[in-house]
Amino acid sequence: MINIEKADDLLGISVHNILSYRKNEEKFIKLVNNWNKKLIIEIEKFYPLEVIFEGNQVRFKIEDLDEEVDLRIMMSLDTLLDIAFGRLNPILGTTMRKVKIKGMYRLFTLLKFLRIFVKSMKMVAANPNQNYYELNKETR
Amino acid sequence: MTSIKERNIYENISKEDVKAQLESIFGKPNVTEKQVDLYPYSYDMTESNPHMPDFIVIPENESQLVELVKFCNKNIIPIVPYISGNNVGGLTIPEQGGIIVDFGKKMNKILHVDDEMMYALLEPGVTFGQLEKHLEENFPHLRYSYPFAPPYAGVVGNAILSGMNNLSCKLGSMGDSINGLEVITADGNITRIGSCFYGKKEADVKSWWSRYPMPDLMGLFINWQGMTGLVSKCAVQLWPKPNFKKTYLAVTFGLTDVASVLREAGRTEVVDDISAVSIEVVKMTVELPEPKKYANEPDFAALLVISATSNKHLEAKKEILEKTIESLNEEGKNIVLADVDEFSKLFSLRVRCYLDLPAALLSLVEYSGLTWFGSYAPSHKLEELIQKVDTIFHKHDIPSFIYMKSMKSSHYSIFRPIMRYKKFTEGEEERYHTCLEEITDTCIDLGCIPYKTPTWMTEKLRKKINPGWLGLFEKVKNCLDPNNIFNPGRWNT
Amino acid sequence: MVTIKDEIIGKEFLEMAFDRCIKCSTCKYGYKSYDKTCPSGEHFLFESYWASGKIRTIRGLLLGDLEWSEDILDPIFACTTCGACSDSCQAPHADYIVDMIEALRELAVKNIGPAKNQKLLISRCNENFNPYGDKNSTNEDLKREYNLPEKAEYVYFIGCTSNYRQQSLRDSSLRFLKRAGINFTLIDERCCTSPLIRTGQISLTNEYMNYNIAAIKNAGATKVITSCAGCYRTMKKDFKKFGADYGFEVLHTMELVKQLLDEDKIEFKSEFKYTVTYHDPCHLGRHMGIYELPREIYKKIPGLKLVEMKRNRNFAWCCGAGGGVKIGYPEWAVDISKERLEEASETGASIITSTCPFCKTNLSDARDKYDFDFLILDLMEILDTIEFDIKQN
Repeated sequence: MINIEKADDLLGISVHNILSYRKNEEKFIKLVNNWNKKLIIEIEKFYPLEVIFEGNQVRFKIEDLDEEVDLRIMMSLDTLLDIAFGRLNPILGTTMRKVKIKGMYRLFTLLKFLRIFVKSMKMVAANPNQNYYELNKETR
Repeated sequence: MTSIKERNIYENISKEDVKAQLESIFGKPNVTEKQVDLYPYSYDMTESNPHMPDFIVIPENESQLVELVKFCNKNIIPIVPYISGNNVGGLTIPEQGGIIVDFGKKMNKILHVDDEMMYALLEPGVTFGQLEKHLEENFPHLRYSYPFAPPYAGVVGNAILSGMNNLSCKLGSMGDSINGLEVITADGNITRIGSCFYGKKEADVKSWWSRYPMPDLMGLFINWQGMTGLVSKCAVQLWPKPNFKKTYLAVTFGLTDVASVLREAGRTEVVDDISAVSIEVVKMTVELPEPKKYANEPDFAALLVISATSNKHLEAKKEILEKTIESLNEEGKNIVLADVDEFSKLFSLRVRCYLDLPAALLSLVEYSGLTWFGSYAPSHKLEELIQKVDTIFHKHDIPSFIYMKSMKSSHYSIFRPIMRYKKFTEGEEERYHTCLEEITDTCIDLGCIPYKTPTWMTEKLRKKINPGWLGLFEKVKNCLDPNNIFNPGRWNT
Repeated sequence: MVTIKDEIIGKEFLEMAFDRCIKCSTCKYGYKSYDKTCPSGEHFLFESYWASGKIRTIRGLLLGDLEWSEDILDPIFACTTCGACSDSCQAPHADYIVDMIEALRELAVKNIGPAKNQKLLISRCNENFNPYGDKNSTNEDLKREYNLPEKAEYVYFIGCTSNYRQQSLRDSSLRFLKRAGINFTLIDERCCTSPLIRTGQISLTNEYMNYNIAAIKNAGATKVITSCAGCYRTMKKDFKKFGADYGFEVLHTMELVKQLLDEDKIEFKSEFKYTVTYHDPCHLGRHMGIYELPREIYKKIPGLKLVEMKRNRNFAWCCGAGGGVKIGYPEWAVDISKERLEEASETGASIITSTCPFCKTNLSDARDKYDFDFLILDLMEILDTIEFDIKQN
């Protein structure tokens, strides 16, 4: 089982929401478990969010971010939504300079990031359920 | 807080005689004086002083109300109207005892929906949920305007207290959307106001189409908090429901940038509704009851709703909105615009409660108490209001919960700092009330005018209002309700 | 924080109720359906009879603003605890509203007693181990009749309503279990204690729970099947609440039927050519979240046409029997059912089916009193009329 920290900042809450969607999925657990990487996600105008994968834990940091991280991904909110809703391929996004990635040479890390984060984001976006009160029943 | 004048209602008539009379008017099952039944009506979610009523009655029609009013006027017994008690202002607390008239249980019929002239004729107990359901099932091409309030708040109460709803950037105050009223005055007369005034005995259901142009008596009953008579019918305007609708989220960085969004986007006249909340409220909605705002997080989130009759129309409105935001950013503001349907999926579906009005707003129902300074505000003062109120919240270590709206193409705004708290935890009500008083004083000094005012607030207002207004207000009240039986104590009468 | 002097099981729920609820009224109607869902609120009308009013009553009593008197009994006990309020409420305390009401009843019983006639539930149990007051059946006769072993993998827990009032349902279940080749036995039962818990009269609860658990264990069973929604809910939810350590699996008969269907072990050989509407029992539906499972079974029965009442699933109108209302307010209980039958009439169904003997009882009483033309059958009674083969995989 993967434990995803419950964040209290806007970006952390979003990433928590996205990753939680698959936290009981076997494939996802295998991907995340013991990945042991640190990423920074920077959404334009927002603050940087560090996501730490450690063992079976996923944690978030918005202060005292680590200097050395495995990947730093930068994009605007518009681009993030375009990727999530299938309007933009993230790799194509890098060639169009809509997505900037530091650490891109860490190919395996990048590919895994796409499988963990981008795929989850797309699955969340594709879920037709808009029913907030059913969700409220499950989570309150 | 204001001390309550106790009225000795049973000096001239015994309680038993009152009970007997009420039972003869309403029928025994619709009258109660049992303490356990009275108790839930004796206080509301705010810090307003509780006070037990003497009776609750559940009316079914106007003739019962006429008998009640005549009886109460003769014996000087207070009458307090009640629908669901969701007003955040202590308006249904019977400050001087008396009889609460619970309209919500039986006088809750939708009497007529007029498709051609687009209005709904309602009894006072009709709720938003009820009206929404009725329209969706029978008139899906018409819409009403819904507030940030639970589905079971009353439509008529909201309208006659100048509520603000999700078409308010287009329409302004809900008080402006009333076509007609039927009221019962202290002498027991039934009066119809508006175009429905034709007809010596009854009005045609198709006659409730306009408030004007006769001398406007409606103002004697709107915003009077039930002090001048009982409203037994109300006709509210409906609007065509466009096929295309889109909601955008504008997230602003910089404490007061949102004020510009409200003003400028409102003036474009393409937006149906603009509501903004402090970012703490967004977090409250996702189960962080006492949230913090971090340094680099946005300060406010605004929802901007546009609707259109075609895709082209919608795209055109969207373009105008985007250009407006772009201009503001070029001026040095820091605003991010996004599609809220998409954003909410990634962030949390719980925020969709704000899009699904009328709805139980997940940020408001956390605790047992809720209070606010809800006001109409001058738009040019929004920056100062935000700044000062945010400071006050932080001073009292209370999460900043500011709600704002742009009204009638930015002619004016709504400014509403809100507090949720544990009403029955010792010291909490006092703490929150102290914060609220400070906010009230600050906002009134900046020209804000509170609506649905508790009596302690009206006491403050009276010190600022010109004597002419106060004099006329007292004259009207004394003329229409010489024995002060209608919701006495409101506005310190 | 309020101090609750009385020692009651539901103390934490009273404490929770004390500082929650702004009385927004969302509890009063189906959320976003705006259907009427609260039998006590709709009947008695005053705020004290709705969920938010009951929470205020809790506060009033704990603060000393309200005194214990006869007047207070109806707002507390005239409620079927159907859970519709809990389903509609969107606040954080929503899931605990029924617990709050039951805790309030516990407090009331300690201070003033339950509603009229509800005391009979305890006195009858004291004498005969069941709330009907019928002479206790050890079920040995049934064991002999059905040739059941002393020990088995399953115990079929009949429940008092099935055993003493709805024997047709009991017998249909027994026949099904036999035909399906289930290795089961019966025990000498005590009341599951559902009617006692719902009315706040919990003096016998632990004793009976422990007795039943011991009897089940003595029978060597690791699984319990029941065809009663009330017993099911009590075993699965209330046993834990009362600290009864049961350690066996609890199944409703329909869960077993579904299991057999999913494993392809049942093949229906005949048809049930009727139009049927399903009434969701509160104790299975809103209380335990089981809505689709029975429907999936009905849809698999050849010839059966399933139609839905307007208020179904979590919006279902209560049958009116639960929460001690059947014994405390018998006429009103039947009137609540009448509304349900009126709703069923609009579907064109000739049969109302359910998966709870208490629902069946009250719906039948309303049918008889008001002359509705329906057959009211449990799922097991329907299956009892159908030929099926059991495939031994």
